Amino acid sequence: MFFGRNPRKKTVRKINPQLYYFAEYSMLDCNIYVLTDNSSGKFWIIDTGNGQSFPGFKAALNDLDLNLSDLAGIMITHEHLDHILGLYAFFEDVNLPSLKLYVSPFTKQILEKGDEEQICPSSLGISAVHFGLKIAPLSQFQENNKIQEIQEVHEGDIISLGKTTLQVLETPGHSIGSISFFDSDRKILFPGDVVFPQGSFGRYDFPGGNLATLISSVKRLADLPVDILCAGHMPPVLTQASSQIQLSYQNISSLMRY
Amino acid sequence: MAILELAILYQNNPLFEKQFYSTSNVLDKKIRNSLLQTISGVINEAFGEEIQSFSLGKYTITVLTHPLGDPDNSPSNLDKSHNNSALKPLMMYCIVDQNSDDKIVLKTMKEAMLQFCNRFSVYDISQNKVKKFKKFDKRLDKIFGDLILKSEDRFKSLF
Repeated sequence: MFFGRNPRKKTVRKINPQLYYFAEYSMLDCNIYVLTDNSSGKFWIIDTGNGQSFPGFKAALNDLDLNLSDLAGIMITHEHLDHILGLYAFFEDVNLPSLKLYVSPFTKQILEKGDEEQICPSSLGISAVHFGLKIAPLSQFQENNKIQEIQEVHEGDIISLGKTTLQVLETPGHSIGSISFFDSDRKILFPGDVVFPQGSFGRYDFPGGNLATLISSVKRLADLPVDILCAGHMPPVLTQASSQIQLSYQNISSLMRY
Repeated sequence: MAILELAILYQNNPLFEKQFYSTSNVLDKKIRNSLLQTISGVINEAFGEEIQSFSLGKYTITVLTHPLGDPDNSPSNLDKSHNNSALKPLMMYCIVDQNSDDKIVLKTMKEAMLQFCNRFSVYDISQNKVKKFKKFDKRLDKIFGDLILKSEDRFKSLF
């Protein structure tokens, strides 16, 4: 293992009474968002980080009096290692027999196969071993009661998480399996790595990325009424986020001149 | 034919600079400074026109500008028609041998600009996070290939 597990507690910020932001570490990690339901005591997370950050995430959860035994579901925005590798750290550490995974069809296929080449492309010169983790077919974890089911989600699907409902938007371009989650009641968008604050946008030069497809996806998100932007990287935008996504669209569109 | 030097600037601030040949040897310091002053002056003048080339003695300076939406400009002021007043130019210039093929240099510069804008976030660019842009060095070498070699060095690399 080249990167030790990082015990440093993740920095947490409360965005609203149901939503917490766990800030990414500096290297190949991502933001993790936690959605809670006070009436049931259950919670859900969006993206899992790189696994190296799992101890710090768990420690920060404890501070909020949230226990992993109450984790009801994990939503994955896309199949890149900084968002998905943490899943294997969860499986290694806890048994979550009632856990549901919500993923795109492409991500599901990768997880079912345990397809390391898709998660950690060899062209990047990095593998799960570097993070002290082992990627295996998902059936192994289901057999060991680590997870209840993997639910493939599609465009327009609605996921109910207690009082929160998230709409699924297929937003490829950064990766093949990129999906965004939109809470239309609270106008909160979880776009993964499709758009970022301050007019930034996702890279399209990784395997499966495509500029024209990414522009279409950014356009879709720019047309949504978004107040709060909870992206995979950089701190969340807490007000008037739509205008920043429109700036992202403007900036990525300008690349088409080349 | 050779690209001697490349730089990327945002609002007059250098983000990335690379010299393939020492231009201090081939360009008199005064000439070099006047060249760079010309470039700085041209940022606002040339903005709106994508490409500008200037010939100076044995050298040509080629400038490529790319409009970026400025995150510092209040995003709430941006309407859906994407008001151009909020745009700020990201500029790349190359100092090349006079006898270089403009079309090839330009094509390569466009590829470099595209990859720079893909690799680094608008936020990092607008915040002048110069350290991050050092990672662009290797990628630039790949994009430029043997365009960074003078004819004599290109021959040396063949044999």
